[in-house]
Amino acid sequence: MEKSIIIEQEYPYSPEEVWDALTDQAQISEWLMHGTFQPRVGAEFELYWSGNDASKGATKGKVMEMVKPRKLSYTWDWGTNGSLVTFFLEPTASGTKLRLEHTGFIEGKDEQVFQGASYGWNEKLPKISAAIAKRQKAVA
Amino acid sequence: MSRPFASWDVYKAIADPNRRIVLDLLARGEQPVSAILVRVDLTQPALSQHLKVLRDVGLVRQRRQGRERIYALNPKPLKEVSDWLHHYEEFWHKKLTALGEHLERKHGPRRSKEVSH
Repeated sequence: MEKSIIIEQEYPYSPEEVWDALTDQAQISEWLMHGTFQPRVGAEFELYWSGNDASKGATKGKVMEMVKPRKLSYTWDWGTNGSLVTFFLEPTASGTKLRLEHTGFIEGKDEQVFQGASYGWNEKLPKISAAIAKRQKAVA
Repeated sequence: MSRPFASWDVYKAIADPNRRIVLDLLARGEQPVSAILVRVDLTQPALSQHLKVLRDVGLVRQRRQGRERIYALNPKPLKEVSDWLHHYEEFWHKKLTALGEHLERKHGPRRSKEVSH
């Protein structure tokens, strides 16, 4: 399945140490956002857009999957858009390889949309844009 | 007419395989409905419905020429979609770098050899 955003990064720390940084709100506040994250499948939480201040808006999420210390997945909702953030942790010789995937749609919220959209649209978009650019050049 | 279209609606619009075929066709240039119809495996009413969805999110524009309706692609909403991606790509790059800095503050600087599993 194709994903919207995929970023991989390696850290010289063990998967357990990285896992704790991803799932403990005290640590999450240090690198991502302040909020109310709870490391429990089904738990709903908020991550605040501005400092430790819920009133300035928040991303709402729900923990979908936790496989300690290998996989963490939660929904990421802002405004009318839903999305899914998944972290994959893999032990390496030098520590941990973290793979982040952020997809534009929530599975289950609109299954068909999710599958339809993740199938090829991010490969299709550049092609369409390129075709448009070419056409606009031809017109100009 | 000028209401800002939520990216979600644009996603839904481009999620459908038939609508993606239509977008692909229009990416090559504007087309009358009759020309689109021969290229897709759809009935006229079904195609009209898909074109309406694409119109509603602003992905296509139509104009009349005699008895024909001519459709053209409007790339603006597609740009919104890629802007969304761009925004979050940058966001996560920054955050994952911050995660590395946080780990270093918490556990002290470490070289790869010192990690034990």
